[in-house]
Amino acid sequence: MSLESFQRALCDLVASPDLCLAVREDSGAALAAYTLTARERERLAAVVWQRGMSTNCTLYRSNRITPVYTLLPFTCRALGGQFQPLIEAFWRARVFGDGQFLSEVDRFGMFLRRRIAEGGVASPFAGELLAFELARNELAFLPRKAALERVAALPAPDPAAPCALHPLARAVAFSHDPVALLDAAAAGALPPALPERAALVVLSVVTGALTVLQIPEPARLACRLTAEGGALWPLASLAPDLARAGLLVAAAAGGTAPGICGESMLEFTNFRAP
Amino acid sequence: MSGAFAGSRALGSHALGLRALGVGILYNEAVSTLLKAEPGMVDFLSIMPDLFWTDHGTGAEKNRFVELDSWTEFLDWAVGRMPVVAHSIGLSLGSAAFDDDDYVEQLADWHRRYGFLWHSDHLSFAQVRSASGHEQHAGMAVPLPYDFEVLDMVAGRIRALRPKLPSPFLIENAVTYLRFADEDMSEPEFLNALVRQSGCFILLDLHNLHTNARNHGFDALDFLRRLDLAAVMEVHIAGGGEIAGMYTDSHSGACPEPVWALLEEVLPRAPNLKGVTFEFHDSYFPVFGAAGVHAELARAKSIWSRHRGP
Ligand SMILES: [Fe+2]
Repeated sequence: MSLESFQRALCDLVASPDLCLAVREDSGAALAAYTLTARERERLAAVVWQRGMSTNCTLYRSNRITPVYTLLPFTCRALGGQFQPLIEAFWRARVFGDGQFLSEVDRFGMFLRRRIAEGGVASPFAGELLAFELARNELAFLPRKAALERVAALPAPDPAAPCALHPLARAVAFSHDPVALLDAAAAGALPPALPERAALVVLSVVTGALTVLQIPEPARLACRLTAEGGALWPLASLAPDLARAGLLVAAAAGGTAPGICGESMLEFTNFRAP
Repeated sequence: MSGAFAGSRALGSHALGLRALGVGILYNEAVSTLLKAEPGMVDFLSIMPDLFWTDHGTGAEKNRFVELDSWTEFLDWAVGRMPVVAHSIGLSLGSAAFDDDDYVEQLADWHRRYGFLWHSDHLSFAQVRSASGHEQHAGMAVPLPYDFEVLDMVAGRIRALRPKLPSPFLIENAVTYLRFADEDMSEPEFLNALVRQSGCFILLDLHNLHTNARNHGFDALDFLRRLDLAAVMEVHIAGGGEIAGMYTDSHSGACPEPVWALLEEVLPRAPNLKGVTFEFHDSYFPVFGAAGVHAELARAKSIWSRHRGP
């Protein structure tokens, strides 16, 4: 039991410079919650003074932040100075359980989405950039081969019949011009504001590489309706670009309605396709 | 082999029958491009299987391990062209409270699929149980004190693991930025005893050794004199750099000169060494470049051939 407790204390120290300082201050009080032998207690009280402990604290933070910066770069840019307090609030709210850095990025995304919905994030672009990046990451880690095999077994989509989005594609709603916003985010130069404009883009990894397609207004409205569970629309005729890019599959034969990432569905629940 | 290291005679004879491979590289996405262009650039490939799948965790109801197609496609391509070894990061063998049978079964399944020649993991821990009884991850590999209690625990876990993996098992010496006072053993004594008690081999990471020696002010050559080099089956070489006054094992590019000197020292004295693996982190590749990777491999190969023949 005491070795287990000693290891937990070491993990807690690596994760918390504040706990390290508390142990420096009064090791007896700061380590009171752990079941330790005298030797273990002395070792912990000693290591908090070693330069290597601050190296460990730095590495810990860098190991946890790097995947977030890498997989949500545009969102981090949009958050600016709010990023640090938000990620620290996330770390405080949730134990890092499984060591899976990718799932951790998703969980941070969910946390951020709640904060955005509560109005706790200043950037007007954070929500749509987050939805875009979460969709892109999800596609990057999907089992592609199995999805392509599933689609290959379906009949070709009929242009006049209802159809669904390819399982290797995601629709993301934007409330600003997606081209202007994504270009500005990529350049690291997000403006304080952009004119509001509802738009819908479709991300796809059907060909292997990521492609992003903006779809026209009638198809955007149709997608909004089908996404909340109504009948599937003949998207192929509304959005021929999607059909030409191979991003539509026959719905009747097992495809799914296109979900839209990043848009609240609540305001559309009374709509049904005619 | 000196009589003091009689333990290594207990090593599995099948493992000692493996042929020596030469110089390999640890897989990352930059390596994939280099190898596709020139498969003969290495004698073998080391892969971290954990990076080839998304692990949805012990709570996942089904499909816990979702494999990444583009990565496994590369592995399918590589196994027909070069020997492959596995270097996992998830066993957390130093944990006093952790076991993950499904993860071990996933590793064993990959052994059956890809025929890895050996399997290694680290002498450290990352997984603990939180105060509320849930799994908690350290966010990094945390080092262990070299005590008898820890030795018995890790040796027991390796003994339990070995029959589940169909290849020799190697444990990698850790990099540590901390020093624990009053340990029961030195690190080489601990490693030698672990080999004796568990039947594992050693993956000797010379950059970890160099990092520890430099930060904690001990003599790496003396460490090598005290280690049972007959138990060393693989060697890692890598580069690193300073962070706030500590030299770190960042795998940032070229190996420093002392690591090459240690390799010169180990090669003639490690009769069961099968391969030397160069490790670098792909985030440094844009600076380090293909030429940098090739230069490190060429230097390692020339040292290998000088001691072992072409
Ligand atoms: Fe290593």
